[in-house]
Amino acid sequence: MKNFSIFILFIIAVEFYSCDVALNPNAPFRQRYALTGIMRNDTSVQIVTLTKSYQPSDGLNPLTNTTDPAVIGAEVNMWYRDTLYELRDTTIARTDTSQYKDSVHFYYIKNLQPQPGEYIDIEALLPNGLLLQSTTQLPDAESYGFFNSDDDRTIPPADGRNYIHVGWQQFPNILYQPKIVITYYVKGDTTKQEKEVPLYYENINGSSTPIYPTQTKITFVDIDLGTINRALNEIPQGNNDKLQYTIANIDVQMIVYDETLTTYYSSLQTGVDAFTVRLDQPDFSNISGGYGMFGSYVRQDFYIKFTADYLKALGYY
Amino acid sequence: MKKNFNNKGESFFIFFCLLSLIFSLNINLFAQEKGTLRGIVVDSTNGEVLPFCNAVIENTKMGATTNTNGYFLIPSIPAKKNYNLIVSFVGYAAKKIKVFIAPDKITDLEIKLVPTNILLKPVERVGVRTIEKNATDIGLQRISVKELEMLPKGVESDVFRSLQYIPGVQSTGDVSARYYVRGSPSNENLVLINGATIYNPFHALGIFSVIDPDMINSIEFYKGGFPAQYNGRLSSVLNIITKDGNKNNYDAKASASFLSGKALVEGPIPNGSFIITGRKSFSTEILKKFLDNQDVPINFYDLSYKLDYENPNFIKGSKFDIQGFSSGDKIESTNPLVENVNWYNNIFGVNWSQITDSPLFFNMGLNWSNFSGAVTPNLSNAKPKTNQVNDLSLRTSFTYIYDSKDEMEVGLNVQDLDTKLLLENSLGATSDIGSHGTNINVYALYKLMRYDNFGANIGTTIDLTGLSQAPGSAFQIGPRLSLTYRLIPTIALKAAWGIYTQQVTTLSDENEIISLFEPWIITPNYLKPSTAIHYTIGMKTDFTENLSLDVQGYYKVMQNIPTLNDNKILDSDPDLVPASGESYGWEFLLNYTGDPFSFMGSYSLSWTYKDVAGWIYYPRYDVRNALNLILNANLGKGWSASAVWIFNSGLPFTQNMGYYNKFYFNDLYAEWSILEDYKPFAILSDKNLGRLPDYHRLDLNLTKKFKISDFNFSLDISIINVYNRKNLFYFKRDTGERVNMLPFLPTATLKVEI
Repeated sequence: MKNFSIFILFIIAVEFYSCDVALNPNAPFRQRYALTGIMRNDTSVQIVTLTKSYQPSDGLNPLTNTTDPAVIGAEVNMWYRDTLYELRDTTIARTDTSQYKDSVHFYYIKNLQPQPGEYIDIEALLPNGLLLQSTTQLPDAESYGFFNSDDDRTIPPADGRNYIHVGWQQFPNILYQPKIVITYYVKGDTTKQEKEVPLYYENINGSSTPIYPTQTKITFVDIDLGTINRALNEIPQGNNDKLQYTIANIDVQMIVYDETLTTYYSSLQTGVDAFTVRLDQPDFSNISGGYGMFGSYVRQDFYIKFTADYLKALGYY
Repeated sequence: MKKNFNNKGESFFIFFCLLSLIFSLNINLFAQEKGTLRGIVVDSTNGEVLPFCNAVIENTKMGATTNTNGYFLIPSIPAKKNYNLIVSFVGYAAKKIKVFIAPDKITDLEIKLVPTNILLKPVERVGVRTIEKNATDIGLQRISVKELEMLPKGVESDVFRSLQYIPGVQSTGDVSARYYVRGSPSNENLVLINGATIYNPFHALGIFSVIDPDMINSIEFYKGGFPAQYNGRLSSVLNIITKDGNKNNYDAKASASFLSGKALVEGPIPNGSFIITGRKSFSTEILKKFLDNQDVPINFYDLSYKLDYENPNFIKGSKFDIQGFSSGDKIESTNPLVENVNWYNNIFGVNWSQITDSPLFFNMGLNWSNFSGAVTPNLSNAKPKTNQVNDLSLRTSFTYIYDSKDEMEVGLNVQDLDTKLLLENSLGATSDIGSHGTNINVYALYKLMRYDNFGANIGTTIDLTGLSQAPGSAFQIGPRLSLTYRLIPTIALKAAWGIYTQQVTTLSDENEIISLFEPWIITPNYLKPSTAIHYTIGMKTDFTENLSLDVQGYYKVMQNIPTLNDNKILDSDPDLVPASGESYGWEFLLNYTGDPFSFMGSYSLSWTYKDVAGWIYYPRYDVRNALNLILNANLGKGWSASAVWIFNSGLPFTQNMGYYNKFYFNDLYAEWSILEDYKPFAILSDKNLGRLPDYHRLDLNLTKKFKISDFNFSLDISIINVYNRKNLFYFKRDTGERVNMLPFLPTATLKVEI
């Protein structure tokens, strides 16, 4: 018993250390700035955002910050083919007001539609005199020759295959983001509608779930005709009168990222798996003087027609 | 910090050859007739060999310690006389044997020691005093099974976690059994099971080791300055020798904890014995305590077997072992959006030990070790990864003990290693960065043991061929020197120095605090082999037979440490970049072994730096102060208790300098994505300049052994983190949420033995 008492005394002695210590995980705050913009060839409206860094209101959770970090009053200029474009600032109503109540501030230009292979330079002079700079080159993905000449152009394919194949030009270190849609019209309405076609369906927890294409380095897609038929049959959405719809074609839409956008996107893919815990995430930026990204993409389209017999068999004629 | 390791190695090699030649000339100036005593010490209950026992001839200064095969050898004993040999070991009753030493012969003995726990009286601690006063053992920690059993079990008794009580061995928290030795990353630790390398010795995301303590006979752990027979790693060597199996009776044990169930069967066979142990997880509920309440569907097993064969009619003095080891982990979720993960270790080997009519020991082992791991993404965002390691190794050694007590050991190790690593990066590009290599390594060491107060172990390894094809991989010379000088009977001064190389590495991401996939590869050809120099000094003081203090200081420099390239942007960028590092510190180990209490206190004060491309920082395992206090109490009548208090000063972490809103896009077809798809992103301060709060924890353990009918029971109750200290593991940067390590956690294990 004596031994046991000594043992207990030892335990009580070390219990004096049982206190918790709070920790502030923050180093002294230093103001930083971020510029974000993606130049596109499919529109003449180009948009850039400017924000500044902030500290969490509670010191820990960044989502507790409710002050919009947008930078207002900066001079933002772009140069394209030796022409200066001055961006204007404006606001638009925010759709998600859970964190910030104010409208979204951004800078834009209305009359710049860059072409594949061209360079755009940007400079943002902030109200405090700090200069952010960057450059992007649109991918050299000209519409002519981008898609392969032997791609299928009709559904069904002429050789009787039960899938369609579309391939495209390969660039090194470049990501592609394809999207396959069926374009159609509702009788009496001239607005073009789209129905997205998945790559395939996967059984997830007992339900058949469409799996759509994502960013990839692969330079082709193969789509089963059964998947296309299923998408075609889903267009009426309960309206059994398929004759109310005019099916136009399949549009294989393609966004070709430039190298900056490709690298930036890959730096976002930090979710290595569901179990690994990574604390310090890598960051990528091509902004001189700050954070963020100034990239570009080129959009191309490839159209595949349906034969009349094919659509008729599905009740659309 | 740059050193010319190779020139030093060559000079040392020539010096070593000359010295060995001089000392091996055993000129006997006195024509007195002498004999040699050789013995093997075994457990009387099961015939299991007992390494690290003391054997001493009464009223003389002559004595020796058993090696990992249970053998001791005392040469140059004046012959034609009777002597009393006293053999003792922790947890066993000391035994005195009368022995006659014949001239010019080896007198062989088999000594059976009786465990004290079957003597129906409290455990008598005997035989812990060092017999070999000049043993060159700085940096070496020997752990017997008895000592392992005394430590708190926690959720699952674990060898690797027990190592963390040794000064100089650090962990980065409760969640991982990974250990870091004297400022080196964990992939610089060599783990051997009966001479076979095990590549991924972890279960359940690294929470436990795959080595079931019930299969262990003995453990040798070198935390630095290891001798020439070990090669291929920069930091430490954990040499685990498994049991041979009960040579006397059939025996079965079963036990269950909150995590797993396990069983052991052993028994005699003609001219030998066998043992099979197996462990299987049956519940992962308790793992939620480790993993922030995350439900991880882990399913693991491990299986170990060994067949021992000793037939004097086949080859006299021979001992053959066939060993096998297999472990597997699967994480298979029913959700196809979560990836499946599995990894396996397999070892199969044959070992041959031979004693001869001369004082020569011979060992040969042929072992195949395989590791395979895969992350199968299913429909998740993770990318597929597979890793295959195939290691076929032949190890041979000859040890000759001279009449002067000096020892010469030479050996040849051949390792054929094939690694395959298939990765897909986030851009969808796949790469195979595996390779194949063969390492032919010879070594020689000379142990100068002839002087009572001075001992030296001088040796060198030479890589005739390298695993890596990089320039400089072949003809690597690794000289080693370890010295002991006993100043006065109670104080020994010790020192060690050595150059070490490593040509394999893991792709470990330092930014991951829980890591699922750490593939092994041969160091790529664009990197030079990693190299380290160890400098160690120490003083061992034996105040009394039961109380000792071991103080060691070390300095270690490392070069060409493969480190994951944080700046890899393009596929063509290298996955690994070379880093350098240095570490130094002081370690104190106080040991008291008494009855009914025994105590171990360890403290280390250390610094570790890593330099990647000119950026110097503290790696995550840099712990400035580490204190461990272990109190064991034998309460009698089958009751025993222990308490462990662990204190570590805060681990390094990278602080936030603020946040900015970063554009997170997934679908650029969404028209206004650029305006609203933003999330806070932490702007990091200088790497690892911050420190987490100090870590401390108290664990208690109470064990009761009792018997019902023919069944021996052992009930073990442990409480982890008795005072529920909220030790901080990490902050989630995106939400600021605090994640703590293990809370107050009571566990129990019941063991039944037939």
